[in-house]
Amino acid sequence: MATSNSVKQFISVKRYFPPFLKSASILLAAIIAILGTGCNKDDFNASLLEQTVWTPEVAFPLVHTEMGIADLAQVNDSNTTLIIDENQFCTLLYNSRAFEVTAQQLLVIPDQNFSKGYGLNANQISTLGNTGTVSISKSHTIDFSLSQGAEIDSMFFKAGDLELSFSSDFPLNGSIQLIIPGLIKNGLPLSTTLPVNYNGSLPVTVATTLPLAGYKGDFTEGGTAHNRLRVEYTIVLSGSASSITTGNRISCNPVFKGIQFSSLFGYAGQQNLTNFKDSVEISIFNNSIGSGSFSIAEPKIRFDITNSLGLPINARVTQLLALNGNLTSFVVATGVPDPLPVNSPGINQIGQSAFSSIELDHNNSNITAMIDQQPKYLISQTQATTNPAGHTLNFLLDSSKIAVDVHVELPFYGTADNFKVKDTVPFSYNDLANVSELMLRMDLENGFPLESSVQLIFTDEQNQPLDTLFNINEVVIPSGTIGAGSERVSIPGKKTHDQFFDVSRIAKILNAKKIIVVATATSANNGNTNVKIFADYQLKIKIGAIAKMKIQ
Amino acid sequence: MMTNINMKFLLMVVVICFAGNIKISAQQLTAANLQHLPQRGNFNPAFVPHGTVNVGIPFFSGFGFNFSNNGFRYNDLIKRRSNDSLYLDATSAINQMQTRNRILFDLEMDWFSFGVRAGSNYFNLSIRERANVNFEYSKALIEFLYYGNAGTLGTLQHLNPEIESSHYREYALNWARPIARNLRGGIKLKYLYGMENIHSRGTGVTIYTDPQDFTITANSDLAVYTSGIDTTAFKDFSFANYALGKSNNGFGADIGLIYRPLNNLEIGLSVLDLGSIKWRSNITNYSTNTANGEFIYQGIDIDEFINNDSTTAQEYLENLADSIYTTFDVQTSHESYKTVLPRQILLNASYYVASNYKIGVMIRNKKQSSGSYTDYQLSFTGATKSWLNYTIALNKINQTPATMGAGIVLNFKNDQVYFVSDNVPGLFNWKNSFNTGFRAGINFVFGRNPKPVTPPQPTIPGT
Repeated sequence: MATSNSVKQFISVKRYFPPFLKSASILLAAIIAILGTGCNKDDFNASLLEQTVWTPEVAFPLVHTEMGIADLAQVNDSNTTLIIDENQFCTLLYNSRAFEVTAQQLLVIPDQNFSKGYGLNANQISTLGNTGTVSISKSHTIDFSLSQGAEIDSMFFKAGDLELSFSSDFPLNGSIQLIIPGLIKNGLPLSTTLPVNYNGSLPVTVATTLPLAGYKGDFTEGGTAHNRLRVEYTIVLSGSASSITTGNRISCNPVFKGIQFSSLFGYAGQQNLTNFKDSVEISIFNNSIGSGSFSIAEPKIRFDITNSLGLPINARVTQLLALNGNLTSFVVATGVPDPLPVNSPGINQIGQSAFSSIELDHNNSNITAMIDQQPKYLISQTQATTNPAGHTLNFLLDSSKIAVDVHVELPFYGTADNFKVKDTVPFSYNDLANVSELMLRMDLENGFPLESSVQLIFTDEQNQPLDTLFNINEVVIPSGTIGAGSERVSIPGKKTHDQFFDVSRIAKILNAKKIIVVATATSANNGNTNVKIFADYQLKIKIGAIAKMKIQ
Repeated sequence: MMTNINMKFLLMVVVICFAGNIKISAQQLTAANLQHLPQRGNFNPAFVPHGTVNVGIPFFSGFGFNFSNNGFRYNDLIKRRSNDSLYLDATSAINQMQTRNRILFDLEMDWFSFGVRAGSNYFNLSIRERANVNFEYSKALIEFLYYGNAGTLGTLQHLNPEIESSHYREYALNWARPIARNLRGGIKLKYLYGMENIHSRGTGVTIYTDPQDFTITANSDLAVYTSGIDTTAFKDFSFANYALGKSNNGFGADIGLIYRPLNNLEIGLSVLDLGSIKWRSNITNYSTNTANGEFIYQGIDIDEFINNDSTTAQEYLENLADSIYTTFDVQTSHESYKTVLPRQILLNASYYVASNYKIGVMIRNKKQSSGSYTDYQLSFTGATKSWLNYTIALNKINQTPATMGAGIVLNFKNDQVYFVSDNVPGLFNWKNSFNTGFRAGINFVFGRNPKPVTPPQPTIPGT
């Protein structure tokens, strides 16, 4: 019953709107009063809020690197090699080819031009008149002209052409056959026949080109001569002899062009090959300013001679000296053997190379003193003479050559005392605008038995110093400690440097355009004890920063 | 120029907001003590309002909000100088923070509510829009962002923000009845229609800065699942499809018991928001995990940068970005997922010191995916005849200092006005409060037969 009354009341809900509005008014007034009391419009007035300055301190790593001897010695080109032996001991090897002559350079066969004219005698003109045709055979020798008294006995042609041209003032048809018996390919002599067609105008010219690659040439005329070939012509003429006289001629012009050999036997002549100079850049001293001492205990210079030319050669090192970076000071090497021992392959060693070598070290030369001067270049000049004893049988392949390689070996075993290097690197940094303070931390771990002082000088464009990072003569990178009774570093040197930059110092850095890096290295016992450098030694550098930012 | 579609959309919004059966509210724990208030049933489905028919009035039945930040207060962050200018004092706010902090924001909006008694049974049918945000952040995260990492060198920083936020609609049928002597039970079964969700899982991001060389080591285990948030959700937007056509659905239930072992003692126990929603529409999930190895940044590798002629600065940075992306294993997927509703358990006991006065204690435990927390309440509740119901409560909510809450229900003939807040001082001085919010509204309650509240009648002398 109560439920049905409630439903009736609900259905007639319209009647209650006036009291509902009264309730709503009470509620609304209460809420407005509460919110009005609790809220102040200024609490939400953004214009009253001062500009906020955010000043976080951010620690972050900047750079890191682990440098081994290959990095420090600037082993970064194909001519420089770091040799590491089984004990990890390192030797720096600078390689350079001081001298190289190939067989093609040694014996150059220039283009050969020949010309020969032939006519008919009275009998032959008579035969032509009687029979309407006449054939004549001619033969002559051609001698190749070569320089330096070179002689070719035999030769396999690798390339080249025989350009043939004929010019006839006979108003006749016919043909010309050419045969060179000394040029053989596949068992057959070089041969060709060209037609001569008279079409009413003179002279009648005929030309062709014959490739010579693959031919073997016998230039001895049956073992009696050098540089000589026999050329045979068979000329056939047909037609009326009425206008033919003994003055008519056929001119034959064979030209040998672009001849290259794949092998050659004969005599290359007595040639002097001089003025070959070479320099070896000793990159380890690139940035040296010549201050302090740097000594390699057992440096070596080795000359490796490789020869596949089949002829005797006399070689000499006419100059070997060490130059500083300004090319003003040099030390001349002593102890270089004269002549250099050069081996040549024998006739039974065609295609092979003969090796020989000499080595300069601290026992037989002044090379140690040369390296002590921290040279940036090693200059060598070599001279070679072929067939120094005169005429002998030579052989050359197209791949034959003689080469002299210079190797400068610098085993990392020695001393350094205040050895100083200097470099200038461009610098530009402008990301510090929101930094109010900066602390740079350099964390170093040195596995080398060398200590170093470093100075970084920030400069402007005119190299005027603006700021420096370290104190003069401060040991920035402490040396690793060599274990007792050992050659190896057992305890790396460690040091942490904190550099603080305030606003004024940051401004200097922002204005800097260059950094001049000056570093010195001193080995153990103030550079008086030889130390060895091993490949697993590393200089670990980590640079981080704590930046106090100021962000608005 | 407004198109016809836009006009229809606008009209629909206007109709729904003003003519529809809407109430906007948020739970105030203090309201659980007001026995005249039908909304008390939201705390325990076994509760039966004392009217025969209860109708939620559109929009007016409940509006308000509930906001809580246990990390800091407005006045901890924004301060006023003597010249009335304002400034941000982040240091003060950070000093107030706990190791883990939580921001809660709740809104509820009833589209429809109709309850009726039938004998000893009580039925209620309701459609309710619910939105809640739970964002947890660590003090370390805020310190890391504001102070930078220089102050925490050598310590592992857990930067693990967590969020659990959903917007869904529940269609509910509530049934309550006595189930034994002095024992009443109730159950509310709910069909859930999800609209937006964003929540995170995983242990978050840790960062360690080496105190010696400042090498940064980072690990991550974080996944963020979203539904209805990405741009596809707003492409070719249709309100009808948004309101009714999404494929996110689930089921839930509230269950409750009210037991009176003694005439003057009432014990209530309820478990709310059991259930889950399967999210299928407009899904975009992001995850990062360094399970295959932590990310270590030592700065620019000079060897790689300088000695490698083939690597330009831009390529180096691109390689670094690729390395970060690979190490953190950043993945984007569009697979459906399921979220569990933030379950609540409420246990309360009330002792009637007189027929119209009771003292009570209540514990509410709420379980989020990031963990659970418990609210506490001590209360005194009274009623004056049938026209007034009031309560004063001491609430400790969201791990913030205790606050004084109060609520009042004024019953008129067939309607009632109520106002309740868990932190009454916080309404007037919200800038110094960790919690603020209120709930107010008007309900129709029929079959209560209250004595009408009439103002005192003037006495005519001589009559």
